[in-house]
Amino acid sequence: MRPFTLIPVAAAAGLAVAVGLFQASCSSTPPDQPIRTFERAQRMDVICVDLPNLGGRAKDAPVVGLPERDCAPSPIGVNTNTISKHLFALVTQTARGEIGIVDMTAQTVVDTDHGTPGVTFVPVGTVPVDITAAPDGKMSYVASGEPNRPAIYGLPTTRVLGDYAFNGQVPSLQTWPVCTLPERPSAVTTVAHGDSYEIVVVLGGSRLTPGRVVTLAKEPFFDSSIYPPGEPVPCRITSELAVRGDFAAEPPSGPTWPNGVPYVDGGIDLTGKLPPVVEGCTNTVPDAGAPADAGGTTDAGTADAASDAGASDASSDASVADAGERVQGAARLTNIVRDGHWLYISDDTLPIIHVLDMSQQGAPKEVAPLEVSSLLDPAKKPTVTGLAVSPVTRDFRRFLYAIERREGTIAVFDVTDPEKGPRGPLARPNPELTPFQPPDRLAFAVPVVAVGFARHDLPLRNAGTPAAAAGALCDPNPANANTVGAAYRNDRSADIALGPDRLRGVFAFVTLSNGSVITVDVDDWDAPCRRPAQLVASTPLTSKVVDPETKEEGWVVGSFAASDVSAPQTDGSGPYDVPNADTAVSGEAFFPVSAPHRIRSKYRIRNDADGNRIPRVSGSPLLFAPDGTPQATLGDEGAKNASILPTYELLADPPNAVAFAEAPSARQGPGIRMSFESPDVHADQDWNVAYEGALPGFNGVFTAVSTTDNYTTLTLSNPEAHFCRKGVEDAELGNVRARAATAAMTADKVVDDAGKPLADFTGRLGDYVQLSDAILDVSDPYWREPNACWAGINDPRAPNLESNANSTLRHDYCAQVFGERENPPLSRDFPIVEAYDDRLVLGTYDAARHITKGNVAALRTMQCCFHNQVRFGVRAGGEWMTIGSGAGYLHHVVADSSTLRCGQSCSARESLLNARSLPIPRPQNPGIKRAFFTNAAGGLSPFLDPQGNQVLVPTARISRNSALAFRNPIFSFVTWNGAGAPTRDLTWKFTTIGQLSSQAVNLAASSTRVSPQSMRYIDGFGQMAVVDAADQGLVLIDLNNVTLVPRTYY
Amino acid sequence: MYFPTGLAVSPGGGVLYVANSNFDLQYDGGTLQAYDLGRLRNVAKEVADTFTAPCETVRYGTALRFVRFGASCAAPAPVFWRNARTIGAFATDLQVSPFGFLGQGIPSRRLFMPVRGNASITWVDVPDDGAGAPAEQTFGLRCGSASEVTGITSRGGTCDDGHQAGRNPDELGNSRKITLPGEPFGMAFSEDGESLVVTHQTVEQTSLLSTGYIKGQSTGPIAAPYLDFILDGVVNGGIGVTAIPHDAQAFPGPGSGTPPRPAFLQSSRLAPELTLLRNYPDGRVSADTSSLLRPFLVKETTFPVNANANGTDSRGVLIDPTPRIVCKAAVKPANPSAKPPRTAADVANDIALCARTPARLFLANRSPASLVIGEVGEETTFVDGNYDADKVRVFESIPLSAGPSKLYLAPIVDRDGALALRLFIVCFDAATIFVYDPELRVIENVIRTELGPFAMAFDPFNLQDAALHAKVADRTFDGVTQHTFRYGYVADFTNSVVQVIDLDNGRPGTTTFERILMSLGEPTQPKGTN
Repeated sequence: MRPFTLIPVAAAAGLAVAVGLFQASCSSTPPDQPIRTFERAQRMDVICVDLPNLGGRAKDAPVVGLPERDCAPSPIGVNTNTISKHLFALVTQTARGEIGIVDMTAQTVVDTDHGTPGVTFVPVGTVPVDITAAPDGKMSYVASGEPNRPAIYGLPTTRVLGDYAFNGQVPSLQTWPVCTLPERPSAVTTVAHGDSYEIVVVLGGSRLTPGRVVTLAKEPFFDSSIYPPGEPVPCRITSELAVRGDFAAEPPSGPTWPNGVPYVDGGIDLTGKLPPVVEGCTNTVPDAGAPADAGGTTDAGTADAASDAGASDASSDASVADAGERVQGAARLTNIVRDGHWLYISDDTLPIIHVLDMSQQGAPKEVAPLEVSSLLDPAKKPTVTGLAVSPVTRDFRRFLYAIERREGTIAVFDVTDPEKGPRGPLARPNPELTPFQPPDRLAFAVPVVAVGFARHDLPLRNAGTPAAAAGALCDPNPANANTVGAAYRNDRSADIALGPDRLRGVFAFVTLSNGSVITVDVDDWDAPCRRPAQLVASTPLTSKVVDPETKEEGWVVGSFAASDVSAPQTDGSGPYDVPNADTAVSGEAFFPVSAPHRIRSKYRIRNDADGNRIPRVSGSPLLFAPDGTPQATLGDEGAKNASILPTYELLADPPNAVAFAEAPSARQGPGIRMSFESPDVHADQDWNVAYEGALPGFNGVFTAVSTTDNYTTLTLSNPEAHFCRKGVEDAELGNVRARAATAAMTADKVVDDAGKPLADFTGRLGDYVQLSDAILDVSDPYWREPNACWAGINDPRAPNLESNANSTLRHDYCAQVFGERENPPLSRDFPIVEAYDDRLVLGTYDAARHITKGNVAALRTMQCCFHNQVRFGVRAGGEWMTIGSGAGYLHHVVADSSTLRCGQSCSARESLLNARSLPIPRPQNPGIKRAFFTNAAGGLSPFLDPQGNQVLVPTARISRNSALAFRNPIFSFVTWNGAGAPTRDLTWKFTTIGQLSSQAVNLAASSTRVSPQSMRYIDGFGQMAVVDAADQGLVLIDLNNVTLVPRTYY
Repeated sequence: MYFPTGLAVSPGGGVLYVANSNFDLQYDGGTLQAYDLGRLRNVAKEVADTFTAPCETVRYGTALRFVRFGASCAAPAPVFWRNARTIGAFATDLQVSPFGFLGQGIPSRRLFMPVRGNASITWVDVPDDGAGAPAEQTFGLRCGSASEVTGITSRGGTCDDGHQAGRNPDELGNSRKITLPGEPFGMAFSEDGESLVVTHQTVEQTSLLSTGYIKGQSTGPIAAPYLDFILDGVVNGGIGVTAIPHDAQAFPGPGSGTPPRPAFLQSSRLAPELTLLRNYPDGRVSADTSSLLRPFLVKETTFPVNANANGTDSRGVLIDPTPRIVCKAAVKPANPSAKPPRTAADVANDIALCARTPARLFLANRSPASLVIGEVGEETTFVDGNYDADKVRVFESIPLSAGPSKLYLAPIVDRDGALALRLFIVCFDAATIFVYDPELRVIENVIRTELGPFAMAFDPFNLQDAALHAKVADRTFDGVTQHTFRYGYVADFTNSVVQVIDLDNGRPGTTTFERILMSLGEPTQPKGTN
């Protein structure tokens, strides 16, 4: 289809409908099988072309290539024949050695040869690996990786469209000026120098030669006497740079990026307060992922202000890579990204990103590379593939996103100063609150395949302010009615309401291997207005006071803390200094909702007419007996049963500002306390809290049964089992928990009238093995084979087992002792006295269920009855076990590197990966006291809940950081006993909902035949283009509404 | 040749074995054929030297005439055919045992073929031409055929029931009295060669067979293969399977030094996952196991295939351990005079770390058509006992053309005359073979074949040599010494031919590198094809 015959899209659609109706009337409807012309599309660039015979241009006017910025999208309904400047996408087709062309203005795939049936693309050399358009739009350059003939093809804009352009000639492989390279290229780009430019080719390198960068002048491609069309001659290389092959032996890590909270205390707890690290914790490698400010061992952590304010100052913390010892290697270069005259090149074998200064034409200079370190394992040498550089942010920063090849994650670099800025990847603030994420990467459910940035804005129209210009930061302060930023508030009318669909700022778009394109906030100009209406202090109760009027003893609640942004804002007029922003803000549950380098939520995280998006428990937790029978949770009957209650915090949780008054004697309904520090830890799932619940991961684990101490203990060994990774805790770890619980009961007033803790768990905690194998059939020849363990059992029920090989006595005795696996008796339980990564050392239980050793007969019986090899499950002894259907069993058990003994990790970052809680006896007579806050006059006023009721504080209260509480990154609770101790498999069930749903566009919505390869932002169109190598071809995403453009090209 | 589905080259490179599936049941069974590979190689060299000449002008000797078919020349297959046996219909694969033994007095190997038509693993003993088997017996096939009374080189005959493991519940060694489930498809030897794991397409089962070989003990004749165990509960649609390489040097130190039990990865057509299977040899390896000596297979865990949009419909799976070889070769020796001194312990530690280098994992996936890339073995930066040699993760997906199925790792001859590994990805539907360079991690080339490429085989090579880029030595076949020539062979199912691919880029000015040189047999359209 030629451009001069184009018809408007709407008209074409109507014609298609008419044709379809005609066909339908004549025959059965053929299957809708669109013909695809793309094959293994991978890279793309765009050129703007001024076409003849369109938009009033003469038929004999030349085809003129123009810079990309000269093309604008055609308004809907406009006949594209009236526009002469069309934007074309050039897309590599790697299976056929062609360049596919798409007229994005006319919305059609270009056929360059109308004399040949089907759509003809532009032929280039085999295996085109990359394409780049010149800044002036007059030539495009294709790097070909053809074996034995690597080359650069020049595609003049005047010829590339073939007869699609009026009077154009059909191109062939002989049409293009081409020069051969000394070896296979991996990428090509251009760097502008004033009105000119040079071509930069990355020669990836091989085992024979290291990677290097060469530059080519553009002029020979325009001079047929130098590069005659269709006759490959060696490229005239103007410069050649062998990039460095060294990397830091101890690569640096960068500073933390800002957490987006411009408050010392915005009603949320980002202070790093964590449960205490257990005594005798285990280090496997040097502590990973715990920046110095993570603290985490006590309630004293107050580092977040420092990390917020200062750590992002990249230049002040720059550690130049040349500083330490360096290791030599051979560079293998893959991808390239350009930022002005700076080039960043990924390396496939070295843990660095090469940084080239191209400011001097023909004289590239390499500066210190960016070092791809990993906080999780500093000894690792990660490499990266795809790269993208952000536009400048509001605070004049630029970020480089690098896709780590083997993890499929993104490392974030601050490249504001490419030469002297920090060399290592930035780290996540408060990594302990988001332990599902690496501390210095952005991770997704599936690997990242491409990333791109966009700086996008939606300037307001009729916003009621004279200066509603682009780039304005939203001002949440109701007192500032006439500021520019006020026009973007929630209580002002706008084309697109304040919320996730309004992309104002700098955003990254991350394409995953499954076809999802995820938005990541980098610099959201609406961020100050995406917050709860009220931000009050989370400061916990401070000290006991006495009400001067009632003389009643109580507690003081903390008050709002001032902004840390700067002193002038404390007068109440600053945009951040707004404890109560009322309707000016989005009223969401978290602050920040939009934080730097965080996945953008698809929804406003609040409860409104569009639905409740706040993380919460769906319904009340339900209690079930081991046989599945529902149990009472309320009233007198409920009080007899175990209960699960929220931990105590006089904390203004962002969404509701309710102060829960959890009191162990209160007959309130069961519940849990959600965490509101980070929205991205929440995921919808079902949770089971089972007493002595089973640890997952033991299906298919067979172990050999042996003894090393003459049956004082029994050892189950399997080197492939990795018991520590499965989270097994032995009796010693159980005793650590028991000691911590004893101390916490005293501190938390879970005591009797004499002040003595209500329980002593010593010797009762720790996991145990529950044998899951059936006894072999009585006919099995095993029972007649010799086995040394038969001697010494000496059970009067089965005498002389050693010599009774020919009777059924052995079988019958074993069947009697161990019963059926479907209904396992307690005799199948063996406590784990020592747990190692490759073996478990078992003891036995005494009659009071205390862990013991030395029951020789029982251990001999076990070994013999299961023929020295057994399968089993593992249960948490004396503890409640919390398992999520999505999160699974969260733990931080690791193996000691020398002994392989299982212990708790010392890493503070992992301290919230928990699943266990203790059965806490209820205090009989807990006290109740009132809460106050300091009023404006400096006096005390009663602290009221949103309903106006005086908040009561129990004397015995268990915070989420108590050793008596359960806390993971998502929620916290306390498991209280009922009238008696709980029984095995007594189970609480509840469901958490309100997960963070990422703002995403799904390329695989209609077909799973999706294989995204690369992406590029088309600024003039406000669209993100994604190239897919499978069925989708070239897909466009409209950033004005973050949806797929209906038209797809393939 | 009739709907070939399996190809294998003898260890010495003298025989090309072809398993024909008899897919439309035109004949009374499938066949196993032996072709003279030495002669074929020499003809291929002739063709390469005159590649641009018309087929009619190409001659080899006086009897061989070529005909043009498609882009290549085709030579009549009977010229190269030397022997055959009838087997069941619908063979799906053909593999040579990784070990040798003494069979009927000569060095031998054993061929294994899953045969869907009679639900068996059909096996045939063949002379090992790489271990000194008499030249006159090179093309022998020994599978109980009645005609073998005149010698194993006799042509024709049908393999007897005793060479169809898994059909008879009373076969010797089959202690559980079981029979092979239906639709056997993929198979993989354990690293020690003792066991064979077989997938089944339509049931939730995987089978374990004994090959008859006992590691370290089989210097003479070996027992017949037999079915050992059937594992239930695997995901339906099992298809590809491969053994996980365990490097003993990854487990140094007193009290250890023992690699994990044999493990396998199985792919599935229906589930986006890889299944880790563990073989418990029970008693064959150590006394620290059950007192019952019954080998069995366990489904240990599954790993998600999430590096592409869907992950279902996986086919071939392959593991490349050469990064470990390369790493070890670069370890510096002990040097007491270095500062600080480099000790033997330092060397041992570095070797152990190299042995723990993750192996490359490749998986052919059809939804979408892609090569899924990952790693097997946990990446560790220090040596301790807490190492998981079987950890799997996938992280990359490279788009392919339609219908990727089997994967092969084999060397080409690089420009400098040295071996260099490549991954060959057979795309059945698109009649295409992608050539992937695992070192540069790029698709090097795309080769168009005849319709329905199904299986490949390659001239013999040593993985160590290929990994370390050894220079190619001269080889002599059929009296002709060749320098740096290497070929790959493609069984084209639909057109019933074997095509020869030139894998030698070491010749100056070559124009045939990674191109189809010729066809063995004239391509034939299936019956009923217009």
